[in-house]
Amino acid sequence: MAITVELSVNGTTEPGGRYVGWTPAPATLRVLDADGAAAPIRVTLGNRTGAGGKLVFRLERKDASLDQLDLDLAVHGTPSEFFVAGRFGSSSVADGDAPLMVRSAVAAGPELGSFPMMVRIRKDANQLGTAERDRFLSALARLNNQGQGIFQSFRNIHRDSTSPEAHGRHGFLPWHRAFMLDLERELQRLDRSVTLPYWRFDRPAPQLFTPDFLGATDPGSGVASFAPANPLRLWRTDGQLGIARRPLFDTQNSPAHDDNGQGVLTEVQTVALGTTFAQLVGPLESNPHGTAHTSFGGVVSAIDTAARDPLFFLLHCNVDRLWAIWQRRRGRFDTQSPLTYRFQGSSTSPGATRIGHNLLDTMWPWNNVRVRPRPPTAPRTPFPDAPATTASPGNEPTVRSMIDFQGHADVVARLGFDYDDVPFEAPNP
Amino acid sequence: MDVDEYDRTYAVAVEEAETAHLAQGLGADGPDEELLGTVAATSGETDTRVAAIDQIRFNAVAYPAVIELLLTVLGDTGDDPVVRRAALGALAESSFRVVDFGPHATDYRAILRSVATDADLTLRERALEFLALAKDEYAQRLLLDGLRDPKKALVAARRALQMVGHDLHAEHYDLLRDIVASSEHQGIRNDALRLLAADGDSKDLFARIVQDASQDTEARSTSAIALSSLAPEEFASIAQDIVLDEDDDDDLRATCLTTLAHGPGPSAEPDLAARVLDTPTAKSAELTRAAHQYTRTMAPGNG
Amino acid sequence: MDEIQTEDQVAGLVAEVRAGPARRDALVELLREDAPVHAGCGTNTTARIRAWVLAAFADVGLPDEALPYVLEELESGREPVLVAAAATALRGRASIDARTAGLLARALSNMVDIDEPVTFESLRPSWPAQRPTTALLEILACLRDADAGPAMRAELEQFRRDHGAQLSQQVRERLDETIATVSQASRSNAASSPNQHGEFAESTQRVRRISTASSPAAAPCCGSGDRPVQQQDRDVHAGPLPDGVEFEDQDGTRLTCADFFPGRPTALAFFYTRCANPNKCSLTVTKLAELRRSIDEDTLRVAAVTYDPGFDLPDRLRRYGSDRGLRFGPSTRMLRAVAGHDTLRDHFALRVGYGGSVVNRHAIELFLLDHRGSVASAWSRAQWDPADVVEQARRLEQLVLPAEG
Repeated sequence: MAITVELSVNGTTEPGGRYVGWTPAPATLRVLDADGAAAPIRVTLGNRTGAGGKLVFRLERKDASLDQLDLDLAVHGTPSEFFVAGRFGSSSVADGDAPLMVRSAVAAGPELGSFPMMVRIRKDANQLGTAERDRFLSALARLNNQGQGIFQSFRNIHRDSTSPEAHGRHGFLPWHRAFMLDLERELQRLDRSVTLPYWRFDRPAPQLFTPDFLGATDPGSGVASFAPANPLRLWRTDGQLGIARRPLFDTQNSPAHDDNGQGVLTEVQTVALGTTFAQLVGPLESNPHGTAHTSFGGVVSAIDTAARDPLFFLLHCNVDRLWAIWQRRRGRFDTQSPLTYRFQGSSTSPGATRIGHNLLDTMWPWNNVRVRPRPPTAPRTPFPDAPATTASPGNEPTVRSMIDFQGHADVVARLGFDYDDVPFEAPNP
Repeated sequence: MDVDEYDRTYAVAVEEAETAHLAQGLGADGPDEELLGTVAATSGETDTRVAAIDQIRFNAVAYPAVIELLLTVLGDTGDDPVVRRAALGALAESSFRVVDFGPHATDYRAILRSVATDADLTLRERALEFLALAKDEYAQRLLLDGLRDPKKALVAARRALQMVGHDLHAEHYDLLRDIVASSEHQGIRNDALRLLAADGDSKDLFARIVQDASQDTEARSTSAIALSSLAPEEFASIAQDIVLDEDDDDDLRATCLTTLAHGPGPSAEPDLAARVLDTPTAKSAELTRAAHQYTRTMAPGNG
Repeated sequence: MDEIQTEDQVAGLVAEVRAGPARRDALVELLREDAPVHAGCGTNTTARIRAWVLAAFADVGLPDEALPYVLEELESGREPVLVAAAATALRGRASIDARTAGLLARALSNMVDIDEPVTFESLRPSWPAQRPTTALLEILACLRDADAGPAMRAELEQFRRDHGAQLSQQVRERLDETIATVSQASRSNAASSPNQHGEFAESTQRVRRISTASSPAAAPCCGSGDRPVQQQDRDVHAGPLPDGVEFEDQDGTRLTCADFFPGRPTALAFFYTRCANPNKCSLTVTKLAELRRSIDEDTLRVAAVTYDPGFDLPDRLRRYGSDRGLRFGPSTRMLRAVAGHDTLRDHFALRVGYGGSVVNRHAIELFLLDHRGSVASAWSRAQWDPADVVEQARRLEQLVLPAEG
């Protein structure tokens, strides 16, 4: 039999759509050539054995996930719908290493299709494999392009002069989630297999602070030192070469702390900060966020200069992950609840806070609003599209669009990223 | 991984953390008077006071009296420097809360400036660095005075140079050129080279150094990278020669390959790395790695 | 005339002027970006010297010629010591009109997130200072003593609502004091003649009348007959652009003045990518992009030339422009002078100073060139309005003879 089938993931048959996290992505399978079959063709979706990422399947999003799913495909090509996601804990290490296998459900039936997919996940930087690490570094260095690339725009967004857009108020978390996603999507334009890794600052990260990755201490020069083949060696911001960074803690053996031993809160302490967003965001911005920044001397220790150091993005990826962990732990995905986000409404609603920090406000710079109190220029606008995996958050993200990143309330709202240790399923109480 | 098992262990840990957190002596109205008193008592034990600071720093911006106390401790030149450093750390992390910290920001800056000339070296360094990152004029003036006249130096020359270097608009370029021309300390000379990489007038200097085999390898590498940004075409041809020269330093060759692959300059030859790998001469691991990376990056369809 | 070269000479001159105002004009000369004393200095040093000079005007009187510098600082400045000095300098005026008060309020917004302690007790103050103040405190003191009028009250109350939580107690108290004073003051006695440039006071613009035998007189830009305040610095050259200047554009294309400027009017701005003040170069190029969108290429060329040709290579120019919405084309370019940068600098009497190869300070400046490349109008220091430039360009267009078009 020469039955052929066609897979669509995330709304497209293009390979660009075949990236999933733990969040179930809408998918369809349909028959292209039924090869004379008259009755619906039963197929089994599954994984390839051996190494690589693994997928799970669901018929409805609310169903429990399955390692295999049977589908009946109409012979005339009507698509059958299902959901595909990565199996929690089985992420990919390379593009396409998690093929979706379609087999005839008949016993010992032939393979009808093998569609390369990737379970693409944001991972602990300290645990990245060499190839993953190098792909990330290469994409990052190309974004910087020795100071002439678009990275300078990312740097320019994050200054003292623009800090009211992103700091000191509740929008701190959603704004930085957008900022991280913006960078990640630009990296993925260069290399689809890349995600932003996170610096887990409440644990030692000896693999991260090395000449082969984000740089080791050079106590004399105060500048991160890199191996000759590490493209971060060429890093330039504001026209200046190098990354001024001096750890105040033993990067090989210790979690982050300053030179008095004042350390970051642990992850569980962070989650324990409170049950509502208002209880979480303020204290978190001081510690562990501020503490992580000031666990180094150098540019990362001040708001105005922090985005000059690529470590900033790994730091904030972890801050974002902490929010995600907290959201899942506390069930805070419902954007209409003040427990999830306190300042409901827009900047003109009663009791509103500064514009940009209310649920329905759009966020600078992506909204291209340059009227006071917003800054006079907007270096990165509009917000980039995800290469083929989701239509959210659109070109002018709101605070709201950043909250339900896994699309629990609405599958369309999913943002297209997941963390290695933040599952999709709600915790079993 | 079993999601449920993961969740069960996690929930227990969170509960424990919540209980511990509440036991910290921090009520709804902030730290109790006793804790604040411990911090303020200049005659107290260092460790006790630092531990107390460690507690009161939690969400300190929510309690103006706490920030004011920390500022007082930091600014008290007669007080224990270790305790003052702990106060500075607590203030530094609090300063990220730009709105709530706002009422204290100018006082904080004024105190940092007075600590810039403190008797304690570590306090001076920390204060000067925060100020230098903020491009503070007074800090720059102090640091530049110290670089020009060592009798006035508040911190080591190398540290001072790095701090001034945070601001490309500071007037340190003549100093940097002097250091490159005449310093015998290779480390500080390399620091100066790195900082000069922003200076358009130094293009010829970099071209000269990178091609001079008698120079320190690190200096040549920095010069290579600097030149690639200031004069990409000139760099491309120099770099190609270096890459193919088997007698030259492997680390430098690796740096040149990496720079060619990741820079905005003219497209280098795609097979340059292959030519390097092709020869029978032994190559360092870094050079081999750089060569493979070059080939990967230059492959058509990549990025 | 003796040229002031060193800080000590500056201090000497200030002391002399405090004793007797005869040489007050020489003080104003020190505010020029290209004054010899600033050459070779870093940005912070230049700012400190300028602030010292500005602050002195509080005691010796603030002459008209210095007013544009003060107003520029209030409108666009982001360095607290200079903004504080500008507010202080206004004490040397007999009165402050509504427009100036408006700029003081603007300065409040500019400073609220970046205020710093400053002092004018010496040219090289050390800390702790005897008499510290801040930019916000000085601005509010100036407003309190000015005749700012009831409209200002509403603005200040809004400011208090928006920013009260982040102000220090001292600033909040002075703000409340200022609000109370302003409410009681009588209406502003400033002339309220219509000004074609909206809120920009005539004195903040230097719109020069360039008249030669054959080129059209520049369209008058000032309103009701108030004399435009003249500045003492060198005039921009009349006549077409000089020889010996070669440009490279954002695509690496080489061209001379003669290749680009003649044939139709050009709006020519100066900027550089390493400018740290978002109200200056970044905003200038953003507005240039807006200007480009509001008038077609056939009517007006748009160009931005960098002060920093050694650093602002083509890739950098292109990224800077496109990030700010500038759409490049044959009549829309960003340029660096690969030859003749100094000639250009002289020709336009550019308001820029250098510390070595790095710019240490510059004013906002935009020129409107006619179809021959001669300067027809110039906007300096004040924020210019793209609509205004469009209007001036259209007037120029009407004056072009068909045979030369």
